[in-house]
Amino acid sequence: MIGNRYILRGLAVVLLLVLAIGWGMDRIGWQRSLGPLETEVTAKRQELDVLQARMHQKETFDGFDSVEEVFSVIENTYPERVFERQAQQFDAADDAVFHAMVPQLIDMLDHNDPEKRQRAWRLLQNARESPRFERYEADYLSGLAKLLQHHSIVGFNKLLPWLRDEGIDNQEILAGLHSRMMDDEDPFAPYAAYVLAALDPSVDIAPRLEEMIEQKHSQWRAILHRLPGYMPQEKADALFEQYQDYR
Amino acid sequence: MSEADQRSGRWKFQFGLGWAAYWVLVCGLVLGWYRDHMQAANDLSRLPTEIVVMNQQIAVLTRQIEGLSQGTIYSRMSQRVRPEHLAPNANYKVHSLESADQLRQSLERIRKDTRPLPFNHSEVFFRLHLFQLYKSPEEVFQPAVPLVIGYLEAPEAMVRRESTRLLHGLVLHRRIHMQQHIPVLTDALTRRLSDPDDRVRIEAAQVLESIGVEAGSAAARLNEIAADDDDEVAVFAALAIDAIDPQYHAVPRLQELVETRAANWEFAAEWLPEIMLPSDAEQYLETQLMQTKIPEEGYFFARILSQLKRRQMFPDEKEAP
Repeated sequence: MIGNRYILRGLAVVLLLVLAIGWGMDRIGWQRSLGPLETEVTAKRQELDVLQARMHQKETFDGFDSVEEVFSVIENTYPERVFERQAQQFDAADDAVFHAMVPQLIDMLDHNDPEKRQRAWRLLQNARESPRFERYEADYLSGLAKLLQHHSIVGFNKLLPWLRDEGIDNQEILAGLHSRMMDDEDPFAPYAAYVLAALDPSVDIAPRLEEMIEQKHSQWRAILHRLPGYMPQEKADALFEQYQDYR
Repeated sequence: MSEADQRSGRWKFQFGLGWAAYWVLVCGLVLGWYRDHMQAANDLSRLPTEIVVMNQQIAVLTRQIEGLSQGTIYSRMSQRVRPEHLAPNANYKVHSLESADQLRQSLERIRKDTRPLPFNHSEVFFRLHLFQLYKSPEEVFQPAVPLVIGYLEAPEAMVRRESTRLLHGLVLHRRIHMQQHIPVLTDALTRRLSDPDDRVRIEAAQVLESIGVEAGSAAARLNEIAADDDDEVAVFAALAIDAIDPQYHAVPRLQELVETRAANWEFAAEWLPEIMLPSDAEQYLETQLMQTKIPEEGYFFARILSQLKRRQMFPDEKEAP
């Protein structure tokens, strides 16, 4: 009689355990299947939200109406093609926005983030199209000198020829070009050297060009073809012969 | 346990409070497990679908942002006339109209211009002259409206189209002054529902929709058109009946047009989010996206869906100019 009672209680406990363990195992099984899916859904949702915000910005952008909008475009507009299209409208911004933003963009040329430097420079390029930019020319040159002290931005491919064509021999700019020329990691180092030589003929860039070839700088093959402009022809030919078949 | 049971040596189960609590606990566990199981099973079937839908939207948005091709199914939203498109914009200087006869003479002069395009700008001139009616005084307006209604029977499709368009604008922007012309206008527009030019028919159906319940006499013809799967105007006819007949709902017919890929189903799909609850529209478009086997259609539904979600994310901001 007492045994029956214990058996029944034991069975009751077993049933509870079976239910709890069964539930737990079932749950673990589902979680294993659902886990990766949930992670993927969360990632996709975030990606979609970012894209929706970009699309909305693209759809509603109708020029730079405020300082905040300029900052927002610098920080949030992607891809680069869309940013470029919107940046082209900066020279048409209202006076209030234009004159408030240009000094801030010049300051941004010294920003630690290379993308911000690049975007500020692109906006300033467009701003220069406007006659309203004249009063900022001197500050712009100081800003460019600071820009040249930082690691290169993509915009250097247009900035460097512009400095050369305009004949800007400001000491700060020349120091910046020298700093770029001496950076082994900088793909624009040879171009900075050529521009430096063009702006200040007293600077001999040949040793640095030779050094970059020896160090197999990323542009060393292109440098080989430019050597005759910066050293005697015989020496340039000798270096060309020495390195042309190098792999 | 009773004394008799104890004497007989048999143990008898007694259902007390403890057992009741036990069984409640067991039932709770079983129900909890079942609920958890069903939820997980539901998630397992829902999440892959959600991922497919999001992948389509990501692909669409990426292409849209990059400014790449929007696919081969183009938007037909331009067929829908919006009130703000009908009235002259703020830059247009409306000349004062002295009489209905002056308007008639100007319009007749434009009609006589038979030069070929691109030298012929009669459509634009016709529209600009008609714009004068938007701000003309009552004594000029009233005799001029029957003149324009008469142009609905003109042999040139351009004249019929521009007149229908102007009358639509007047119904929306000068409704009180148009009131006395509604019966004649409704009859004239009903005839235009059989116009050889589909654009005139689409415009006419939309004017009848804007007139609303007072255009009841057009309902029979609109019903015929709405029921025809091969008629481009069916979707606009359904929308017009919806406005005329309170018993009729356009949503099921528009959904039918989309599901059977009937004529102008693209516009029906794009317009559904405008007349359905956003959550219902979202669900409907997701289902269509999942059901279609044609990639271009999937891309098209994803485009509408992402547009709808964007409107929900940024409800109060202006749309692209």
